Amino acid sequence: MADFRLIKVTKGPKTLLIDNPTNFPLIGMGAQGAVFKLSEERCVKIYSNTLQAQMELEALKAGQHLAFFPRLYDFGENYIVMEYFNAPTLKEYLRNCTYIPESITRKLLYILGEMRKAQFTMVDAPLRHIFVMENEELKVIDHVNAFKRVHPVPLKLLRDLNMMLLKESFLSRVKKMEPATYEMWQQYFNENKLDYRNIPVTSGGDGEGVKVDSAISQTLIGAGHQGAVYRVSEDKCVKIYGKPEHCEMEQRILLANQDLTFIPKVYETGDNYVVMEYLVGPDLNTYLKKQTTLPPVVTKLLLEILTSQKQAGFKQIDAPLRHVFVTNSGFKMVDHVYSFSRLQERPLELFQNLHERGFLAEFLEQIKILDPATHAEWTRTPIPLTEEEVQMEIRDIPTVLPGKSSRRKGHGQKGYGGKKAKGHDKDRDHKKGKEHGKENDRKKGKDKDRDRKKEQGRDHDKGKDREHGGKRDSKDNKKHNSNKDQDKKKGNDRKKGSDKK
Amino acid sequence: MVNLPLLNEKVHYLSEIFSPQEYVEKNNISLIHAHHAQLGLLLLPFKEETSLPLVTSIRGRDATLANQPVGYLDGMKMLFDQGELFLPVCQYLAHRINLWGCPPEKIRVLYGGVDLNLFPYRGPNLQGSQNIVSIGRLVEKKGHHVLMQAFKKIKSKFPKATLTIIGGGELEEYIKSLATQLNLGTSFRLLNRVPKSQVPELMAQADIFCAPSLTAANGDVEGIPNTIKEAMATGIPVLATTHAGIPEIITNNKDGVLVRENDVDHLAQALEFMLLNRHLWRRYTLAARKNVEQNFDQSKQLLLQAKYYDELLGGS
Repeated sequence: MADFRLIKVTKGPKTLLIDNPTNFPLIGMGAQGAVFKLSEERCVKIYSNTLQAQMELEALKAGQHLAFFPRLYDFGENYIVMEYFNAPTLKEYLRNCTYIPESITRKLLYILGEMRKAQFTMVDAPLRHIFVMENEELKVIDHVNAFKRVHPVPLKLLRDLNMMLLKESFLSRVKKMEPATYEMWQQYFNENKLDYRNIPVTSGGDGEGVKVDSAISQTLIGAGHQGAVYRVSEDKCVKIYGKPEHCEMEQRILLANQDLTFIPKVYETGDNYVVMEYLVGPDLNTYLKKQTTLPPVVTKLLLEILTSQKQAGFKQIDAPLRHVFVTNSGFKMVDHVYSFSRLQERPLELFQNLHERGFLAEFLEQIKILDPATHAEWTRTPIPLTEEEVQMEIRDIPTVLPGKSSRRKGHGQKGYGGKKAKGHDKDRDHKKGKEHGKENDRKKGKDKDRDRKKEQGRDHDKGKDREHGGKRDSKDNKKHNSNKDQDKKKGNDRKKGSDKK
Repeated sequence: MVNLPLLNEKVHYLSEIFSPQEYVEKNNISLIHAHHAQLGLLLLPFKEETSLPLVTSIRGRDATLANQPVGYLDGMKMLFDQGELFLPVCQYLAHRINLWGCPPEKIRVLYGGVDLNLFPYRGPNLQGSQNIVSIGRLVEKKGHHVLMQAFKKIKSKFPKATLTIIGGGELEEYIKSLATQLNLGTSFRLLNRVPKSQVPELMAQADIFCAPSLTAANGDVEGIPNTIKEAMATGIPVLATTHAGIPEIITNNKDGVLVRENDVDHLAQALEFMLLNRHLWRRYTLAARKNVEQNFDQSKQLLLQAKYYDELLGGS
């Protein structure tokens, strides 16, 4: 068999690029490296970055005395040959469990304790990095960040358990089995409690989602391009923005439209945050995934949102399914940053979303009955279903925000009139999915693929000196906007937009 | 107001609760009722944090160890220890959980009831048609495959007879191919994706209702299938198996006919017996309706459930 050293792993625009002339199968790929199976006992992890190979090597060496570490067999500058585990991950093992078994809790606590003793700063592991061997012995892989990241509390582990509804039973057991550990975690969470008036989110820069301090990730509901949303109480959440401009744009739209039933209630605002009503219930995309037909009431309520947007003077008429929440007091919609700075006359993203769910035809039929005029308007030209076509139909316009007190007043607000800030970091490009969405729905099939494609596009753009995005932000903006051809040409770049000025 | 199924103001989501104590106080909650053992387990931490009493219903699926998640039996033992009250839906399941370690003083059998208004008694169909109907998800324990084989055995004697199975599920393909294999032709039909609201109407077209339930290879069992209660309320003669809780609702040759589970020949004989003895149908169905009115009436069963809640809360 050929030498695994012939395999080349390099960093691609988004994912790693693999050139594998050997027959060793690829069994896993992460951000730093790809893993190939060499035999039933061995695998090799090949890194695109030698520094990360070194970091992991250091951690593996430091942990060789630990039974739950993979054995280290061989290494080179960019690779490590280690033990291969042909076993289910802990996530798979715990499937359908509604209360975490005592034995697993005990083993996890043992592992975390040993990591601490070995002076790892990262005392944590996500469920997918933990393997369950036949005798229920646990093995933990991926130690690249063992000495780099600081997780005194197993944040990833708790996050994953929470998604499986097992966090509460885990904590309950920890409290009984290791009260001191439990106390330490509680203290950590208390110290890192979210103080939204003292903002920990920063803009991720070009094409990146906002960066979120992981210490408070337990109450994080979602993070996207412009901001991160945290639950702060039974009925409130706070959206924290990376940029005050975004905050002001959305704040004013929300405040000026509090009388619209689909707009979430706002309780408090600050320079970088808005405290608003926490929406209990699934988003419409999640809801529709479970339906075999499109309930007419859904169409009716969506039409109501779109109609009232129009009546309220919104420039962008749309209701992406993942931004609409089905609450017991009606449909609510989040994410309105661009409602007054993008001109879009028909709900293109909604069409796209419904098409993905297989409900577009049904939706249009129901609209035709409910509101023939709107139906005619929407279908006058063919409905675009590819990203490219959709982007061609959306135009950036100078932001004209509604006034805080009276709607549709306040033309040319300071800093906004005519200055279309930020490029086209459309919400749907959010690296981490929707901001308001529930976390566990974030990384699902199609959406993920689509996001990944966009990420690629975005990263390509980076290398090009941000010609497009950059210029759009400059004073030339108006000129570009008035030039239709230019605009068309750039239509496709819209989604790759840069956050940088 | 949105009123989609499971999305209305009465429905709350466990994962959306931010602070259990505040939530319980705000909504004035005094008791938790989990409708499956697995849900009881899931609610234990919530119970621990709020000190609320926990009532858990026990259904057929809860009483098997096969195909359960890791640590299931240990979890059940913990639930029996920490939960205050268990409401198995039949004696059979009460006995099972008792064997697993649930203290008898925590067990009250609570039969599930049917809404008698939805299933008014219309008496047996004596027109001469021979439509056999079975309703239930297409899973092994429902025993549809045994019924199809038994039906095949009597088909030549009763050329007018038809068999209708109503339900959807994992065995759909198997059931379809079995029908082809047995050459049942147009005398057999499978109706899947039938909305619940249409069940009373479909049931009313039946001459004989058959519930051939059995213990699945993985150990999965029934409690007392609701469809049996609904058929009995409607006044359709019922043919079922001596499986799990079914003998608690049907006494053979009194309010229906019982046969051994998973026994094609026995079931075929009983089908033949039923089809040849129409004169017994009225007697069976009158006794069955009376039985359901007494022991399986939803409104009565809900009152009984409320009584159990009161006992637990120290009220009257």
